[in-house]
Amino acid sequence: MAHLILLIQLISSRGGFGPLLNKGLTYSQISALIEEGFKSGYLSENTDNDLIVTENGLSFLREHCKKSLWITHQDKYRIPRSNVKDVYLPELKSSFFKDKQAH
Amino acid sequence: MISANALNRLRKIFKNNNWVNDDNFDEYSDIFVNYCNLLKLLSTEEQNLIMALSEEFNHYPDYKYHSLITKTVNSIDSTYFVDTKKVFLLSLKKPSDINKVKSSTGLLYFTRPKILKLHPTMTVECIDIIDNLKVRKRNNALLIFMDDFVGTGDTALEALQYYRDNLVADGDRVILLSLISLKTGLDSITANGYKVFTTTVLGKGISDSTKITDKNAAFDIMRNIEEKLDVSVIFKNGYKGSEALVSMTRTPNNTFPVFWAPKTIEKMEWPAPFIRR
Repeated sequence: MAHLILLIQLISSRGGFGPLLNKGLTYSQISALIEEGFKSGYLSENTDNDLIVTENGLSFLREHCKKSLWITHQDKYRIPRSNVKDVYLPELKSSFFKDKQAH
Repeated sequence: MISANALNRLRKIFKNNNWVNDDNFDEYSDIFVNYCNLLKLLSTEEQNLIMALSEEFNHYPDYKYHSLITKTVNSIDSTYFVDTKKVFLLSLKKPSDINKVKSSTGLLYFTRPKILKLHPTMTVECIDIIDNLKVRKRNNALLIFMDDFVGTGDTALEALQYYRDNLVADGDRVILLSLISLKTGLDSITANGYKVFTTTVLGKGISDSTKITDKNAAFDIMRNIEEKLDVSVIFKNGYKGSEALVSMTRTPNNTFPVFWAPKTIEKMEWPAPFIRR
């Protein structure tokens, strides 16, 4: 999802694919993303066959990038929401007991 | 870096040419990756020319051969089989290549059952080395010279001349089968009095293109690209200027070398999408 958002951002701003390539995507994977963008109705072509972002694509962007168009969610840092009854064990290094354990 | 529009155009080429299944660009990954690497080395106008030519490019990997052979065999005029009991399938090879294994060798064995299916009473024999024809008895035999591709027609005419000079027998009937042919080669063989059966006849990539309007500009751009490649003069615009846009199991040297040349003039690797090894 984050890659698709970034792709649409890049196309809407007429940017290059550098940011996607920097994230480790290959041109094959970017092509597959473009395909996905077309199928979802977020991308289209104008009369000169240039890639454009559709109204659907723009609302998709607005929906997923409410604060800023240039900062996307970094999914890899997202922590799953815990339930109230979930047991949470902090890492030892951040534990209150870490100093007590030495005694 | 490849622009968004260039990558989108490349994506469409792969889709429209059926070079990718179900949007899985990994299936043709080597070709796709090499295309991307190639485009990165080219200017925008060079990219546009290569993509315009790629839109017309014909790629026939091995798995398409069976249906091509069936179509070619089915296209043979049935009158050639009248009053004939024996069919010889022969590799179309230059006399100097007689003892070499060429792509036509394997074709013979795939073609034989397809002829037998249509004409079950015939005897069909495959002969890879044409000189072996000398010791075969043949009464009104049908000789079918076969190759997967006819380019300029030079190879075919040399092989047929060798046959005429050394092996011809009374009552022989000769035809040629080629899965894919260039129009120039086909015309040249036909002008020498031979009948060729083929599935697809291809024109010249730039000269015969209906999409490329400024042909002089296109040739100039191609010359600029080819100057970077380690290919001899005879291969400029493809062997003897064939301007072919085709790749078979092996890419014919009739195709523009930008698509198959393995090295640059500085002996660096050239990311040819249909590299000729």
